[in-house]
Amino acid sequence: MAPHPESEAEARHGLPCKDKRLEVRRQKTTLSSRQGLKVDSVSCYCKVDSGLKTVVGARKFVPGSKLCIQPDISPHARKRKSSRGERTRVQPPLLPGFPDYLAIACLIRVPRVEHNKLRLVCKRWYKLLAGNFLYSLRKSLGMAEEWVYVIKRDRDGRISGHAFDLTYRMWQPLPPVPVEYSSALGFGSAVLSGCHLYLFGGKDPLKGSMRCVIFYSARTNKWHRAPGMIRKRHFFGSCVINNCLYVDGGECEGIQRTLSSAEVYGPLRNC
Amino acid sequence: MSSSTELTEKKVFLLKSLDGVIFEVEESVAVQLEVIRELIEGDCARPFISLYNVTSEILALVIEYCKHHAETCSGGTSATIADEDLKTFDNEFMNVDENILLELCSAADYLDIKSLFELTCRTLASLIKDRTIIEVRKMFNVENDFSVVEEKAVRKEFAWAFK
Repeated sequence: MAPHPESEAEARHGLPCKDKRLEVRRQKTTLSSRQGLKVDSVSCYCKVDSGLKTVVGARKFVPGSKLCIQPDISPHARKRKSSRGERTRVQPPLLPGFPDYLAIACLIRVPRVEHNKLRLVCKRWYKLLAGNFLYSLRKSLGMAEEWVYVIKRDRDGRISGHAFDLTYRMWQPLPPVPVEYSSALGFGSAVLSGCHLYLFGGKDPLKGSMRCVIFYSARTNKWHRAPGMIRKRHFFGSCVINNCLYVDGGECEGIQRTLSSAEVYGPLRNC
Repeated sequence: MSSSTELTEKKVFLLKSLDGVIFEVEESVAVQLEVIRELIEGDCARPFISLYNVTSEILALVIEYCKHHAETCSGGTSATIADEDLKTFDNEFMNVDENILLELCSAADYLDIKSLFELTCRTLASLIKDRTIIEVRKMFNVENDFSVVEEKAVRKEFAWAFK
């Protein structure tokens, strides 16, 4: 049962004038008894108090309230507002008629090679598969399927990536590497945060050593740019410790000796 | 209270489905339903246990599943034979309509039968895996809310997935 309209309205308004409150009560009682609806408590101040001061006070009390042009109490106003709120807040279910957690319990068991297909089913599924939630869940339940990434170079010197699914023994091509990186030599590669394949540094045959860093996200299936390294370098050493990427030594075009500097990149701090 | 004690002694419990059908199950079957095991342990298994989320059609299937699993496990056969037998049974048991599968999954969750929940989820996942996008939408009655342009864009993003 809904709370009693009078007490609800009273609590929301906290109106100063007793007589006027009574008037509201009277109106609300009539309305609710006649129509059996909850009384709108947002748009009825003007009827009660035409003095701007109190309305301002009331607006402070009930955020989002406004002056009515028509001082009628509309029993539908509140209903409309809540349904609008629900539309933005409540998403359609992943599987109609079933709670989302059951749908997720099924979807996490679908092999990773099929995930791209699932993204096309509907927007809700697309969002689920592009986010981290499903994959963290798969990981915590020991269902994560690891892929091996291979970066290869064709005869024209262009690099491209492939992923290999160990369970289903299937190769999947990655989207084309960004143009500015596609001819790089002597670059480093590493996986950070579990789902980002980083390519960094290297040497472009035309432009020389690069500080450029790009990464492929398995969630979005796209290449993104990350902040560049401090120094341009190629043919360097690199490793990942505690999800931080360490880059060390290497060469830089124009400098005869090997570099003696090292730098570290933390994906969470993005620097 | 006396009837409850009597039932416990006989080790038979009565389960009442949503549509009011009463099923009689032995204790070995009933304890596989975690919810009911808790009730039994708490001595709350009154003359009958009402299961408000499960229809008689689904409850009958759930009981069939639990019965078979209880019998196979206590049958005295060797572990490997029992495993094989259960596997065959599970495969046949899962050979039902998708809607029933979803209902079974939901019931397994409500009744807290871990093995059945895992089985139904796995079966549903493999159904999703083997079907095309259109078939998946039809199977679960999911509406395609992508516009033609949006769908094209997603297809382009994952061009290699839809060869």
